[in-house]
Parts: sequence; C-alpha cells; structure tokens
Amino acid sequence: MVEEIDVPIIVDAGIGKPSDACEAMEMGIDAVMVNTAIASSPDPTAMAKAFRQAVEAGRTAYEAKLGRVLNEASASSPLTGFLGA
Amino acid sequence: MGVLDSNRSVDDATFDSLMSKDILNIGDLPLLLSKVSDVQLEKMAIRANRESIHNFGRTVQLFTPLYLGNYCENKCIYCAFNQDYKVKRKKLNLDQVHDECQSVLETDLDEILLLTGESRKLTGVDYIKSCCEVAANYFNSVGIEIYPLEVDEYKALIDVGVSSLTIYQETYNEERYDALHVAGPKKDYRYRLDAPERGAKAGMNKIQIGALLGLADPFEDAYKTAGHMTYLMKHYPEVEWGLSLPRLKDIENGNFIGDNVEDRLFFVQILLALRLIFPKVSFSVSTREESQFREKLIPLGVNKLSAGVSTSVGRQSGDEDETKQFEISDESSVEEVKDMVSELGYQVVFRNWVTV
Repeated sequence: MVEEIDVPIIVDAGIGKPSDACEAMEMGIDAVMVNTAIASSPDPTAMAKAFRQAVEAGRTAYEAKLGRVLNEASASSPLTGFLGA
Repeated sequence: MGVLDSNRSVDDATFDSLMSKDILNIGDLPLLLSKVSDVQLEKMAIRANRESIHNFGRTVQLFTPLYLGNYCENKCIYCAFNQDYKVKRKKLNLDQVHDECQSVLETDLDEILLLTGESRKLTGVDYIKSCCEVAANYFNSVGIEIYPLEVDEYKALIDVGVSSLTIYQETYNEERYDALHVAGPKKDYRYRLDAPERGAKAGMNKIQIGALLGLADPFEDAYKTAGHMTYLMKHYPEVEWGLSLPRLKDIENGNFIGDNVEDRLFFVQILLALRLIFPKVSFSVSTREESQFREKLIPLGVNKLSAGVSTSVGRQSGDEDETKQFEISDESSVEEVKDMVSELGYQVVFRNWVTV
C-alpha cells in the first residue's frame, strides 16, 4: 500500500508492542496509533516512551534505506548500463 | 561443468537456475564466462553488488604503491624494468624511504605497498627488510610486491611489520609464460606459482594474487586464477585473500604488443564472475584503469583502490619519467579518490585494523 498510493497511511490496529510500531515505521508507514498497549501497561508512561523510541528508530531506518532500493521504473541496467555507452 | 567457451550463449532458464544457487564456485565459471546477454550481465552485477555490500559494507580500502628500486635481472618482454630496456635505474636509500613515507602519511593513507624489480644483488632481502622496517613506523599496513622469496625470508619481513603480500603469476599459461620471460630468475614458473603458498606458510595476513590480462588468453587466465585461488583458500583459510586482474598496457620502449583486453564489457564480466564465486575475497583495481571506469566498478564489488599513485622509483626526486614501470591512467590524488568514493555513497577505509 505504501508503494501503491500516495496518501499518508496510518496503522490503527495490531500495534501490541514497541517492536510492532518500529516495524511499521520501517516499512514506510507515516504514523501508528496505539491505545491498549499503553493503557493496559502497569507503567503507561514508560510504555509510551518505549513506543516513541521505537517509532523514531523505525522512521530513521526507513529514511536511511532511501536510495538503496533499485526502482523498477529507473534505468534498466543501473549497474552495467555504462558499458553500452 | 561445461567447456570454457566464451562464444557460447546460455539460455535464460539455465542462467536463472545458476543464479538461484546460494553458493557459486569454479565449476560455474564456464557458464558465467560464456556469452551472456545484457540482462544476464546486469543480474550478475546485482548479485555482486548485494554480496559485496553484505560482506564488506559500502567501503573501499585505499593504499598507495612506493617503488623502492627498479634494478632487475629479468628480461620480461612486457615490462619496462626488463634488464635490456633503457630505463634509468635507481634505488632509494633509507632517508629517502623515510621522506617518501612521510609524504604519503600526509595524505592520510595507512597502507603502503613496497615494490622492487628482481635483483637480490642490488635490492636484496636485507635492503627490503630495512625499508619495510622504516615503513612500519609510519603505516599500520605494510605490503610487499617483490620477487618470490623463501618461507624464512617472508618470515623475516613479517617480523619487521609486513602483513601483506602481492604476487601475480602474470599468466597461468606455462608456454606463454616461458616465451614472455626470456631470461632471469623469473623464468622459473613453478617457483613463482608457489610463492603465495610460501607466504601463507610464513604467516602473511593478507595475500593478493592475479594475472596480467592480455599476456595470454584472458578467459584462460581468469579461470586458472580462480583455480589457484580455490586451492589457496581451501588450504590456508586463515589468510585474508585478495584478487586483482590488471589489464596489460603497452610500454614505450619495449617491442612487445600485448593482446590487450580492450573490451570493457568483457573485463567487467570477468570481474563479476570472479566476484560471484569468491564473495569474501577482496578485489582491487589499479590505476591502469581510468578514474571514471574505476568509479563504475566499485558498486560491482571492487573494494580496494590505489590512490595518489606513481610508478616511478620515489615520487619526489624529479626524475619520475625516467624510472617508471608503466603509465597510469588515473592520476587522482588521495583526496580526489576519497571524494569520488564518498559521492557514490561509499566510505573510504584508511585503517582496517591496528597492531597492538
């Protein structure tokens, strides 16, 4: 979905632990919404902090990957195309 | 395993099946060196790129050569240092070695490669050892690219700080080797062939082998280089092995015209094929190649480059043109090579490890 459409995508369910949030952000999701995981924690403040850190980590990782993925739409031989020149 | 036939093309199904294997080895070389299509070559490149990044990260190690002396007892037809050719003969004294090392150090490099022609009389092992000792004061990584030595001689150099040995067989075609090396100790094919193994037995950390493409059939030399590497890696897995396949360049004052590998595509294919069957071996490309070309080879798996190069004996004495071994095509300074590497999104590594 992230690659197919050009609107912000927010995940609003199934984020049960900080690593889930991190993973969603790594994929390029724009935001996650979390309720139960924080509210039902014995220490909601700490859990919220963990989620914040996880979201930051995932977003940084997503941004660091930019430029590495070979886009199908770009030159057909990006690595050896120079030999044809 | 098929016959090594560079004119035979391979159908996509066979090729894709080959590329789906987790591990490729010398048995796959005939197919990898066959007449591949543009798409197939790009697939090789994508895999080489991925595996190089996996094994080395996006890094390129830099080093520079320093020629200590060009006295030579050999008569190799293709080399400017041939005993019969008119080149000014020279060797550096230890003060000059100090000066040269100091000037290289100022470029931030931490790996130096010391070279000589073959003359036990004028640039013998004791002389080389003294020079290595000087260099080891300046650089963490001191390498040698000299004539073949005995095990105990390699050990003596290792004791003063040498950690890397480079020695190319030139060509693995024995008949051609014999014809190209007219006279001198280098005529002994077998002694040279066994040198990397003697280096490994002596305890060299890093050893680079290769062939000079263009002296004989390049496919044959690529294939036999792979055979040599396969043998060495199996018997000496503790060594950090490296490969290089310099392309022959004609020399001014010789009467030898090589069968130069002009076709870049062909050269790149050999590079990719070897990269794929030796994903953990370091691969270096010299300044015989132009800067723009070397730049394109980095994403294909070349992870070691020379920079700030001169092939003259000493760089500072003013008679560089008269003592050099070959013309280089990439005169980039260390800073320029560093910029080139950074612009590609790669990181230059000056210091791979330190001795404590």
